[in-house]
Amino acid sequence: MSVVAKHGDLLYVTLDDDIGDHDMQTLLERLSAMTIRHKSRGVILDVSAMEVIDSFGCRMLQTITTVLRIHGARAVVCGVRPAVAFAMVQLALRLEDVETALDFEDAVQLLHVLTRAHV
Amino acid sequence: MSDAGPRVRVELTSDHEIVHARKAGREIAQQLGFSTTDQVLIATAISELARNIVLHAGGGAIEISTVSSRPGIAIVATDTGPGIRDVELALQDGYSTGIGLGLGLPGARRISDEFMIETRVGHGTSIFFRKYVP
Repeated sequence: MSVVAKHGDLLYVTLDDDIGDHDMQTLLERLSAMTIRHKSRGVILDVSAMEVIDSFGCRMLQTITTVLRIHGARAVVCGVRPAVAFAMVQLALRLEDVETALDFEDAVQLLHVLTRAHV
Repeated sequence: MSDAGPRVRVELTSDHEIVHARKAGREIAQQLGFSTTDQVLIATAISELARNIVLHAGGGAIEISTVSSRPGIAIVATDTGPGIRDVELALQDGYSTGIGLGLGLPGARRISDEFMIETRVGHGTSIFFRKYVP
């Protein structure tokens, strides 16, 4: 479903294509606990494996971002595929208040600016 | 409607079948020759239709097949849920951002070539979606 790894001060999460609604909920809880345990300042949510991000997926990414921000961490979503981005716009799905970056490298850079984390 | 193409029926009882349904849809869309962009659009629309059923109707099924008259995908989402009281409202664009009934329906209609809703309050809803290979 998803893999969470520690990368310096950051948490790095890859979301699988077959991630279900329930898995998303579990991921939120795991990420929340890990962020608190490691006092993480930044979390990268890599969605490059996801072939579909629907309204629920968008809402979960928003929820994760908001919950992590409450814990003092900033989240950046990276790797949205071109076709997925197009579908999101066509279907009027929104990723409001969610930081996005092109890829992992850019996400690290962005988090560096957002959190001044040592990576 | 006779057809020789693939036909997949996914019974929707939990969120895991939503993933099955959209994967099956994407596969058929790919076989039909839809572009990658359209494949993702179709898969996302299926995801929205399937989720509506799981969340609001408590169960149902989604059937994906090919149109016989010309290259295209046909999707029928059926449930025996409460029905949609106000179809016009459910299809309003702003409505899709809410959590209520009709989530994703406006988007699914917008990307379709043919879209029809049959609903009876207290009996259920069937949504017919078609998209043709451009």
